[in-house]
Amino acid sequence: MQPTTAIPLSAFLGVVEDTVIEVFGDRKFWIIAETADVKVYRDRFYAFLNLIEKDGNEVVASAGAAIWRTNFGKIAQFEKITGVKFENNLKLVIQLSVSFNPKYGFRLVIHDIDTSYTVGQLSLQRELILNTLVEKHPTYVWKLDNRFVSANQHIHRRIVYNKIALIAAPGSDGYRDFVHELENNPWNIQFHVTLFPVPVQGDHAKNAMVNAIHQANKSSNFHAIVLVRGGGSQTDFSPYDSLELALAVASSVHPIFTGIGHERNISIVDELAFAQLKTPTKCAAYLIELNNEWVNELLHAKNNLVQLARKMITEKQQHTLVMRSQFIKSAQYLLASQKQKVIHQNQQIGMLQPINTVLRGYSLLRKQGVIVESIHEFLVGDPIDIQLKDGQLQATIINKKSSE
Amino acid sequence: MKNLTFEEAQSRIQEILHQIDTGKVSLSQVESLLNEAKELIDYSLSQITSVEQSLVQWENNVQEDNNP
Repeated sequence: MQPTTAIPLSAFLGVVEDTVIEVFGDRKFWIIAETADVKVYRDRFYAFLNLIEKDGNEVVASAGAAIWRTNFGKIAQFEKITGVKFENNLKLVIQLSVSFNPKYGFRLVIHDIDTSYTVGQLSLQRELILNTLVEKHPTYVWKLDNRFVSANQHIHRRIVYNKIALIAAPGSDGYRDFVHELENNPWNIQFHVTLFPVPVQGDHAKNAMVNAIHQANKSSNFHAIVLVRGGGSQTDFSPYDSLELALAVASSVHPIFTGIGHERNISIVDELAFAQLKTPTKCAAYLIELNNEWVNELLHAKNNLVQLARKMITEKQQHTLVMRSQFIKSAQYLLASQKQKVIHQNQQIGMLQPINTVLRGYSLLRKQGVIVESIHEFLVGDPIDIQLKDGQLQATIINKKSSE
Repeated sequence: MKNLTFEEAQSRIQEILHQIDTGKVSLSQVESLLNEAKELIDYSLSQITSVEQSLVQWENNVQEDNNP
């Protein structure tokens, strides 16, 4: 059958457009959908995607959608808040309106993305993974006071952490920030960093990081394993919320320090790590601080030692001075007493001098200056000196008579 | 005399005094013994004086050490 009147497509689609405008106008709707075929043109400030709904593996609804320049910032906002990259296979709650253009056709226009829904979903997913870990690996992860704790967090704290296994993307901002902070520590603490190069996002990131942790644990030379990523990108934290990496962290022999660089949320890996810091720089600063505690203790001990030595030296000096002055006093006393004794001896000798006998009225006889006591020492005619109290007499022996 | 120690000089003095005290020597020996004792006493005193001088010198050094 031939149509009696045919109208141009544009006219027809114009009617459709009018109808769509009439029915939907500027009204906005919140709907739940999954993303597919996402194409984000970051330099041109718009994005195209398909919104779909699945029943099992079968797609039961699908529609093309776009985010135009006015709402393009919502993508970055979503990524920043949730830590999830805006890509395929995301289940989202989206605010949209309906548009129809005779040239480009039917399209859903996205105005907003509900981040709290995605955060909630992530939280549920995290909870599920954590509970699985508790159930299947109770040696490494368990619950304490409604919190998840790991064996890694119970590793005995060391005094020194300066041999570091660094798991990071070589040349990345996170790697540079971490190493720069360590190398410029104000106390000149020496760190020995061994890099285990890994990609920190993308398909291989998770397995690469798990392997790096296993490798680092094979060596007993490390004091700590550090996981960092950082810099500008705030998206795709999924490896850090994976069961595999979480288990590797929880069961690591060496304590794990994280500086994963997410501003808002902490990942499962963060939650189970020995120490969780916000950024690579903060992670390095914390390691410096831990080592500095030890350096301070050493400095303190050194000061104490010096003070103690000084005190001992002063005490010994004082003691020696006291001893010396005591010695001088003793020596002086000894000398004085000896002197007294000698003076006394001198007096005794003085008193015993034969001259004293003369002073008492006796006389002394001398022959050639020598005192004589017996008549047998004289011959008749010998000269003799007689000493009296008041002078001397010279005489000659004229007779001898023994009294025996 | 020069080879005597202070103690030897002292013991010799004591010996002389003891001998004279106990009358063990003749009067003729007394004078020479007393002269010997006198010399020993002078020697002892000179020994004491020498030690005294050393001590004073040392004491002065100690004071200099304490107030450098």
